Amino acid sequence: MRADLHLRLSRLLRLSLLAALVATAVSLPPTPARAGLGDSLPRGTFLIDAAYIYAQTNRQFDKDGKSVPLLAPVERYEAGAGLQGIIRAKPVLHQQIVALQLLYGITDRLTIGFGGPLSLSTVIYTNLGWEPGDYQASLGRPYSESDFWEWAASMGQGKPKARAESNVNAWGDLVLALRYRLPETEWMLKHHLSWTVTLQGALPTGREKDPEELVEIGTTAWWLHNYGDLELHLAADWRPYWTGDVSRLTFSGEVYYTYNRTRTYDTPRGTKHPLLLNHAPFVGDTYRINGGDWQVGRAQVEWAPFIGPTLGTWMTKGSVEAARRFPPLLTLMVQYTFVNLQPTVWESDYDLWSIDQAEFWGKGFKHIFAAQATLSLLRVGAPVMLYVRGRSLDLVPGRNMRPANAITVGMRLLAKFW
Amino acid sequence: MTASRSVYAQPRPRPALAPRRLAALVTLLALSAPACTEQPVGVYRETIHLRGTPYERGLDHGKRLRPRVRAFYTKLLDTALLPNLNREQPSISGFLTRYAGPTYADGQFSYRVLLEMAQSVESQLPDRYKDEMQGIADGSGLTYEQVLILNTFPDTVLAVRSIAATLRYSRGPRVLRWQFIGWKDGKGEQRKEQDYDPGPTALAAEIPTDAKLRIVLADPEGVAPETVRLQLDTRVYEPGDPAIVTQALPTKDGEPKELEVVLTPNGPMPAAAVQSLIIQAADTTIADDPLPAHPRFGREETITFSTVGYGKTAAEIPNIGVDDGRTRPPPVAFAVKGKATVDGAPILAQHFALLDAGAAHEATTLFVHHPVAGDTAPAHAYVSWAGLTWGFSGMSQAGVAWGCNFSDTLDTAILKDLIPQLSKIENAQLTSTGWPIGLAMREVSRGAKGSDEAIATLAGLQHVNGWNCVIADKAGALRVAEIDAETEPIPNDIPQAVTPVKWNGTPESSPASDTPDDIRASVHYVQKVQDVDPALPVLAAALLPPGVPIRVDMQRVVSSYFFKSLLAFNNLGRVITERYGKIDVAAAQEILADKRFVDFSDSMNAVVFEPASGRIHHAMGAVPATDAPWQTFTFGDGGP
Repeated sequence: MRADLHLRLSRLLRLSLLAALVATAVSLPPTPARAGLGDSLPRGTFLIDAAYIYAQTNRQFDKDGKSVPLLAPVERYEAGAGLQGIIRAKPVLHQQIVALQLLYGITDRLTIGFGGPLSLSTVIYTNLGWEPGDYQASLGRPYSESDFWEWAASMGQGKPKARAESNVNAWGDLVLALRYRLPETEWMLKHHLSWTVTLQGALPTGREKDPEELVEIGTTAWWLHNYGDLELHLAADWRPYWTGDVSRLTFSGEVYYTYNRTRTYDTPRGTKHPLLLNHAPFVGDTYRINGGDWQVGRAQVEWAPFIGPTLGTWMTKGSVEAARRFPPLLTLMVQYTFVNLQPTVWESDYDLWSIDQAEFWGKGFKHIFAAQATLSLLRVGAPVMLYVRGRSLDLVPGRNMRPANAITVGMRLLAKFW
Repeated sequence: MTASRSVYAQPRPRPALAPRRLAALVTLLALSAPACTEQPVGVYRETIHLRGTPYERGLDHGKRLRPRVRAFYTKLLDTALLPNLNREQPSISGFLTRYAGPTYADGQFSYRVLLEMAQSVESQLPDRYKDEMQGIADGSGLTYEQVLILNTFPDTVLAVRSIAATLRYSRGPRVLRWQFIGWKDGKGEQRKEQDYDPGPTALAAEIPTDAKLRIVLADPEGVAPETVRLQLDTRVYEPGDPAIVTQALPTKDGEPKELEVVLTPNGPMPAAAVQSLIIQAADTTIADDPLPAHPRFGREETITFSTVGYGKTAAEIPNIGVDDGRTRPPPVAFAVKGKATVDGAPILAQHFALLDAGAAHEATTLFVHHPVAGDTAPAHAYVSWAGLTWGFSGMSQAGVAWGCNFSDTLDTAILKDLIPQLSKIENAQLTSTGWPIGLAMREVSRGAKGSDEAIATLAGLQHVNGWNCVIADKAGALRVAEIDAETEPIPNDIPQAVTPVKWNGTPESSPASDTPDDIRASVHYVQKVQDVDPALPVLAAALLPPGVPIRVDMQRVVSSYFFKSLLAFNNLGRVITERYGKIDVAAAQEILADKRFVDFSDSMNAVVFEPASGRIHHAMGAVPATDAPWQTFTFGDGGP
């Protein structure tokens, strides 16, 4: 008898879980007037931020920080006949997202923001490989890859698709945020210190994956794993070096806490993959995922190497003086973020299944490094800021996380109607 | 009912608690503070005490183990075994045409077949077991049909497997004759070829080291020369190797076509050594249903012989082949006492392997049944899985321990039920009227006070499949019961389904023992070597339509387990001999964990019983089972 295909390949399910990390940046961007994290929009100012993000994930860091494939090799044994072979998968996830945000300065201190990610597409390449095992007397040869999948197909389970695309033009969880610039003391004003507190919450507008699909992810905050359901931020900026009205150097710090609510998911019944995803009979009709909360610390340095020309334009009604308060033409930023991940916990009727799902979702952390260059045209009469940003999560290995490196190209438009 | 859980898995993180969230919110220090506690949560085995009426026991069992019962059924049957068994539909429906009908279409073949056989098993069972299964169904939420299948499938599936494997191998070539070219008789003349008959000992002894090996294969469609693969000891001669020379032999019309194969080894074989030859070949057709497509191979045969100077006769050399590490050992069991053990007390040990499928190790359970008022049966326990009313090993408080290994045979209840239907083969149905071995051993535990009573109990039951059960009692009576269905063309009143094996005075006359104080078994018969009635092949040939490819033959001829069982059985004998007089519980546990007896992918449980002291030691919940720590249960502790 030989029959344990499903158990090993069921790890493929994890592909959809593990490969879920893409980079979106929905938290409020810095204000147009000044760089940093601890500032707010001027009263009556609208800011539209639109960014295209491309992210890729192809591996994970385990609990010891070791880089391992998103799927461990699966050794297939046939009862009494030795090793059929080893399935080696190197799945790669490509995610394209447009992050859209609209912010408005209610007062000089209070800014409201609304936005979220719009997924253009998620493409997952499974990259399944095969290492032949022992000689099989029943076949007269070791199982080839096609032999193996033909064998699996004869039991009702076809080979997973080599390329799976999903989340085409699908919204993620939209975010509503409020940022308040806290009152400064005389000492803070004297030393160019500002600080803000931000509260943001995600609305359940994202798309959940089809539970019956093997190679797919959703677009909710849980899947994107870049922002939480509720976040409370405290940020501060220090601008010690100025040229006229332009801060040439800004040091910023931020801490925030992210709460992730428990989510309930439908358990697959194997309607599409009868041997791999028939879990409902013992897991229950639904299961729950407690995403675990995050504690985040962030440090950032921005440098304005080039202020550029300053013109009196329609934006300032011809006032050069007013234009000098706009951001410099070029700003460079480097940023480091540490994210402490509390364990993600699966809860179901079957404890062993729950534990198995959480294998790579124990406590962990991420080291995120980012760099950005921003070109601001405000000083020359165009209410536009263009930026390009790179983000890496694998320069320093994390623990129990999937590094999703990303590159972002974005644009901010400013408008003030009164 | 009460339950205790065993925890041995690696510690896994538990979720952080809400207060920690608050703490982390307040201070940055929380970022580096432990975010979770390390608590072990992997529970893979349980001990369940059952009391009450059979239904109440089943109900508690089903309720307490509900998710495990459901997971075991789904993962082992729904998503593994049933789809795998569906692969056999083409070969079986080619023989029994009713299984090509619509009732068995759309993937329903395996479920329907197992259910029909389960229902024929059920007809033999007393109400207490049916009530217990009904309780499990009610407690777990499975249907009664599902629980019935779960409790009968090992016997019925193994019986079907025997037929399916035989059908498959029947389509491939057979080894007809053998000869060593250059091996001369006392007169200096080349010895003649001999008919091949697989057996437990070597075919020949004192073969010249420069001899060539000649075999003759036969197949109705013809043997494909390009598929002949030979392995002389560890040296593999792949198809097409120039060392293999083949030649078609003339045959008469209507007779299987013969192919002569001569192997000229690349160099002289070592002198004074035991050598083995593994033979494999396919016919000229391709089997493509089910996929993957492949030539039709016959059974892989193992021939053992010795070279000059070894000094033993062929009958003295076991046919164990070469242990090349590719073979997964089948289950083994042994019992020792007296001079074999440290304190003289009897010990019975078993390492059972069949199929894990990523499911069995998660369902392992020790069930302890406690007597209630009015029930004369003693407390008894068996090592099992969630949802089952029996196990492959167990012990009663009366001091009777047992461990059963499956034993591949065509003499099953299926064949017994099929014989009367052979004249109308198109409507013949697979049923298996008889007792599953686990429930038969429940009867042993309920009533037998010693090993001989256990044998007598088994002899009074009709069995579904072939089994080799090692039995030991607290007085030290060591027995092996070799079981089959004892199918006979003409039913008679003499029950011979159970062949007892015990010490008979000498090792030569005691095929399972080397001394009075040891006995062992794997998955081949050592005494019931004529497991199939000689009249059956003749009857089958007379009744089956022409061309139906089934051989009703003896275990040693048809079983794919036969040679690997010989290897395990002989290895076990060696280990017992090496440790003779020093065997205690720890030593028995070490033996069971010896890699020669460990199927690393389908090991299911390992047990050591002390029938005199009522102690059960078990390792399970991991694959292989012996990777799990051993735990001990003692009768009298009783449980809450």
